[in-house]
Amino acid sequence: MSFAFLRAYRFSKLDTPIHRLDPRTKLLMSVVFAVLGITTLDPVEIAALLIIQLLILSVSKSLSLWFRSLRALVFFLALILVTQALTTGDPVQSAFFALRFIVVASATSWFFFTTSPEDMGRALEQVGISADVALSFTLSMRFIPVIAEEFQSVFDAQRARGLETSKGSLVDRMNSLLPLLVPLFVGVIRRTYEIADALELRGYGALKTRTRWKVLRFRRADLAVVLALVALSACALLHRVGFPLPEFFTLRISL
Amino acid sequence: MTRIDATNVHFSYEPSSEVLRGVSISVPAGASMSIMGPNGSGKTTLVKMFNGLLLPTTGRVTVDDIDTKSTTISQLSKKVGVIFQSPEKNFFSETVRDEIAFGPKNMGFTADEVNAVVDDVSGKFGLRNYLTANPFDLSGGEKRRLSMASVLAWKPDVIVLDEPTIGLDYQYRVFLIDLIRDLRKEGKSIVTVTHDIDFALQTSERTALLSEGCVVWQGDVTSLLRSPEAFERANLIQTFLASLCHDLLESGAPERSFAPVDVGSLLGEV
Amino acid sequence: MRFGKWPTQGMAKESVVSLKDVSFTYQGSSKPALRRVNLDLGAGEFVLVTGPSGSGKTSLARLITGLIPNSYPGEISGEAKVFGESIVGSKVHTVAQKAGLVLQNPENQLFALTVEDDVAFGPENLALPMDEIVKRVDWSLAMTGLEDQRHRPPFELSGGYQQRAAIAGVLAMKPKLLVLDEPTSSLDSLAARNFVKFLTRLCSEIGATVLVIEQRLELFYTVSDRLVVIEDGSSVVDAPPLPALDQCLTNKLPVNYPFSYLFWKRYGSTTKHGAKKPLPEPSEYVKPILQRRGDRIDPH
Repeated sequence: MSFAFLRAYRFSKLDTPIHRLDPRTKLLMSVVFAVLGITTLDPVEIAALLIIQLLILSVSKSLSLWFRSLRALVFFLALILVTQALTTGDPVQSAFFALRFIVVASATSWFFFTTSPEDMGRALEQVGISADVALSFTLSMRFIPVIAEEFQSVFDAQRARGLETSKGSLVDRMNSLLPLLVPLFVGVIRRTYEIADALELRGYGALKTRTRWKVLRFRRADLAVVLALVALSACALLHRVGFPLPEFFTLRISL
Repeated sequence: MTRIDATNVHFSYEPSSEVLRGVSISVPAGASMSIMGPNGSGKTTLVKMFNGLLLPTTGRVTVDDIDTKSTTISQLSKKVGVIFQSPEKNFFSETVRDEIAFGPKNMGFTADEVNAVVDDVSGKFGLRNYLTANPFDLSGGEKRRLSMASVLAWKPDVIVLDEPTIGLDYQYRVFLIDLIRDLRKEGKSIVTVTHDIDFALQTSERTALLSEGCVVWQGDVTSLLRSPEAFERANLIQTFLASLCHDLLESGAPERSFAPVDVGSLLGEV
Repeated sequence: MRFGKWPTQGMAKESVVSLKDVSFTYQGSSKPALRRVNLDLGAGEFVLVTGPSGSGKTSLARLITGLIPNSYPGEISGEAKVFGESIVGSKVHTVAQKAGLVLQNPENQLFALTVEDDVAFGPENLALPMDEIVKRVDWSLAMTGLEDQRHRPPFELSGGYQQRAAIAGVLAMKPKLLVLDEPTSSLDSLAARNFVKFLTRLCSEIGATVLVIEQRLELFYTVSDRLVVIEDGSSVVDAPPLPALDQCLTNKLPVNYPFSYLFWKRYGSTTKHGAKKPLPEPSEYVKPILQRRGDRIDPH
């Protein structure tokens, strides 16, 4: 059993302008792109958003990572194209919806590729999310590989007792999950008790506020990006409101 | 009687790092063997080859001359029962009976056969009064006995214990040593994978030392006790017991008292 | 090598742990986990605690470090004091700055995504000023030899390093008493031996009092001041290691008797009375043990 799909959104430690940005800025970028992507009906806008995204990805040297992550989207893309073919048969419209899906789904990709997990946790904390939630987030990320390994052990041990997971009727296969899930859940719950003890022993929750020993700092590059995002949103807004533009730019989708 | 042979096995989890680098090892029928080595030497990876959980990247592993690549894990597990670390973490049934019956049922035993083995094995491990109890309600010692019973229920010929001594107290250690002796009397092969040299000395006649994916020594325990430099090659320490046995052997103590080492008679006799 | 030496008389011993007739039953349980336990630890002592599984050793560790009765409610009786202050009514985080507990599984004590962030976690929770946190992190990492690993995620560390990282995290709270629950259970024999050296060096450097719960007595009994055996929730033996093991043998207690001790027991006294056969030349393990009889206080 390979957990390769977990690697789809993995952080890689490089030194690019994007990597150096404050994670909160990157989070904002993702939000802006996702919102613009969802609310548009204009193929030109979508194309523009996609091109800008590809530029960002190439600057952060994550293009190949992104390409591999598209594999996870293949099923939904196919679904979209098939539905479009059955309803309208319009190739431009199909392309539009497919591209829009890619743009929105990829809006968070560079955030994950260029932000270390510890910075992600810090970003959440400093954006105003409570320390408890931010800690839950960090703990989840910290323990994902551990739980994956635990699952592998249970899987090995039960197979060594003759468990078959890929034979028989659907009911048989569902039953074969029980010897895997019960030990896994019990193990995870036991672990959380130990983790809770350990957190207490390190003083978590003792005082109302805690110091942060590493603080994220907004820099000039971040300001530049934020301004660029504002400009981008402004253009998009004007474009939609119908500001007079050369006819080429007013190719709209009719629903 | 089942024998296992591994010939020139190479294995990597990831393309960049090889875990097993040309391991050749034999578990003869009816053997009592230990595979010793520090953490990370590849011991657990090696025994996962014995029941087909892992297949060699290159090289061959055969169980009774059947290549593990040509058969399934369930088929191999019928002959080779592997008990991993902390087996009590793998309980999932509502009753002790169901937990013991799980293995045999998977192996294709009939309902009558299942009842027979459950009865037999629960008696041997003192669990007969607990058959309707919930496995999670058992005490620590009872849980460990249940996990042993669950694997021994289908009576495999070869029993592999992967690091059985981790976190053990004295009582469980004694229980294990006695269990291994009983299983040997029944003619089963026992393979103990461990870094606990004293335990290995007390429970095996043959041993293989594994270090960084290579077998650095293979042979009788008695010969190993005579050549303690092998311990260093395998990144293991020569324990007090091992050095004591070495001294005794060198000064002429009879070899028959050393494989496996019986501490009681050793300290009493000399 | 300490080997059953009591601090010499005349030197006032600061009482680190003082348990008098302490009993504790977990809420919802019918059997007491601790039954009239008596234990005294003095400053600078290195005490080894052992006993069968489920005998109450972990409960004892939780009591000394404040988890019992604050995180684990239940019925408690008797007097339990750490550094002169009662455990009952103290908050866990207050006790944690005096008595640090390193739990059995180091993985579950490493929370952050890099080692240095994890070591900083404790001080952050105590709301210490930033420069103090930085100082403590650097100090803990230096003490545990983890400076090269500071940016690595805990998942990638080997067992031995994970163990040290867990200890570093506890050290950052600057406790004066360190309690370790079966620290070598996940280590192989070589790593375990290195761990003992590391622990003894660390504790003498920072002047901490240490309580180690262990099954592998052969690793620790030559470096401990005392051996305490817990059975059924009570301390049944409490003495320097050799007399303690003698008591265990007499009472046939289920502990992992070190082979070196058994050998010494068998042969240590026969040199006086004459052996049946000529003894083999003792190896380097046996010699110091046979010699040690000379400088012990009571001729056993």
